[in-house]
Amino acid sequence: MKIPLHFILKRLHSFTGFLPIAAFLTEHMFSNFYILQGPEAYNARIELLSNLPFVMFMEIGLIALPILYHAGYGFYIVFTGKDNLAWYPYRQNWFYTLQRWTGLLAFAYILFHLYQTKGSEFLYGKEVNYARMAEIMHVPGFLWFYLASFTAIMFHFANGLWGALIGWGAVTSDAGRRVSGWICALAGVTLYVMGVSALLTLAK
Amino acid sequence: MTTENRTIKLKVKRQECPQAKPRWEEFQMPYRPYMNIVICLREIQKDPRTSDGKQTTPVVWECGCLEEVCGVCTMLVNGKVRQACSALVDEMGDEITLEPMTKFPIVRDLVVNRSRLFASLKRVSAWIPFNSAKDIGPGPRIPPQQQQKDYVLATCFSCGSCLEACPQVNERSNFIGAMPINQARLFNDHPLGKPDAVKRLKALVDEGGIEDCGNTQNCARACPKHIPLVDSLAEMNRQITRNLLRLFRD
Repeated sequence: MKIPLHFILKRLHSFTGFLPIAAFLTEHMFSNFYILQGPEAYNARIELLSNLPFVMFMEIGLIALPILYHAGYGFYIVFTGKDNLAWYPYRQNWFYTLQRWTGLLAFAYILFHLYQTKGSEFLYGKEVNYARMAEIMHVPGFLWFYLASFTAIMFHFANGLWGALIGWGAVTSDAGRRVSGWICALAGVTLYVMGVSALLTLAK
Repeated sequence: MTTENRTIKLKVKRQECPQAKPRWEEFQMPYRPYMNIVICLREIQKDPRTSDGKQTTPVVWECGCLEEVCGVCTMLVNGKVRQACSALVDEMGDEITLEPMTKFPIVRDLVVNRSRLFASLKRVSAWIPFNSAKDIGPGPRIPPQQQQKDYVLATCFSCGSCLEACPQVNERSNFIGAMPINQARLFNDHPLGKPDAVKRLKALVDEGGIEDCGNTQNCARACPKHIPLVDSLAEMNRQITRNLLRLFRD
């Protein structure tokens, strides 16, 4: 038996994107939404999440490793492509190119965000809570970086989800692609609005 | 529009042989109504002289059918892939650049070697595996709905436009492109092609196969026959997903 390794790695990339990572992203945006209810609600939410059983294993196994794999294989995908927008400036070709750039930006952002939250907690003992996040968001540079990254991540999420539907063969027609495109866009915009409203509340 | 004093400028990327360095040459010719790129190239052939009057060799290109069904005159016209025979000067403007396709090894001037397409067809067994000197009777009937659907897939003439327009086909990847994947779909759909269906799927999940698709969908836009290549890619992805466990067997 010949194991189609190439195929498995690529499908795993797709799978990590739409299951663990997209699920975590959704959870994360829902948790952030508690910011709108004020510091107590948000801090209680953080408390709840950080007291989940085996939280460290879940963070590593269901969040960190999938993101690392998705990013690592993503770098390889970026390397194997050669964009040609200059001659074929079609919408979907723009999405293809944007998917790669937003992926790179998202990864840079995630590392930075991790440093500002978990990293700072570990290194300088700055506890992650409403006050700490509000402190970060009051620096205009950070706020803009977060807003830009949110835009990139939500595009990457929606477009990636849409692509995965084609990549796994769930959608095989033009009409299907149009309908699923709007659904994915709606999912992306919903999470985006939730995320941005939380950011702006913190920055107030 | 005055036709008498219009001049067409043709910039052609030329290369004597695969090892030679490419160079640009400019040609001029009087406009004629309904001119296409093939006529322009024949005009050069008559008297191969560049714009500044220097004698040169005639530009080498291939053409066969002259009606966009053979694919050999596929080249880059103003940077975009298309067939020279169906590229009308009236759509192009008076300054036109011609280049050979970039995703295939160059032979000379505008001629490239497209044999990788044939290799890909062999890879995905793009044929019906029944062949007998004996009369084995009529084949199974194919309903007209399926005939109509499959006819569109069968209009592919291996021009290579889908590979040329694909950002995932380049020197850093072995991606076979949309064309052989569409053919695998065609023969997997055929009742007599079905016995080899899983074999074709296995060929598609190998290195350089369908997973290298980046969902750019340029292939469908570039296809001169408007084959729904994205549908074909998605359909083969679906067949692979459905047969996931079979791919690992034997």
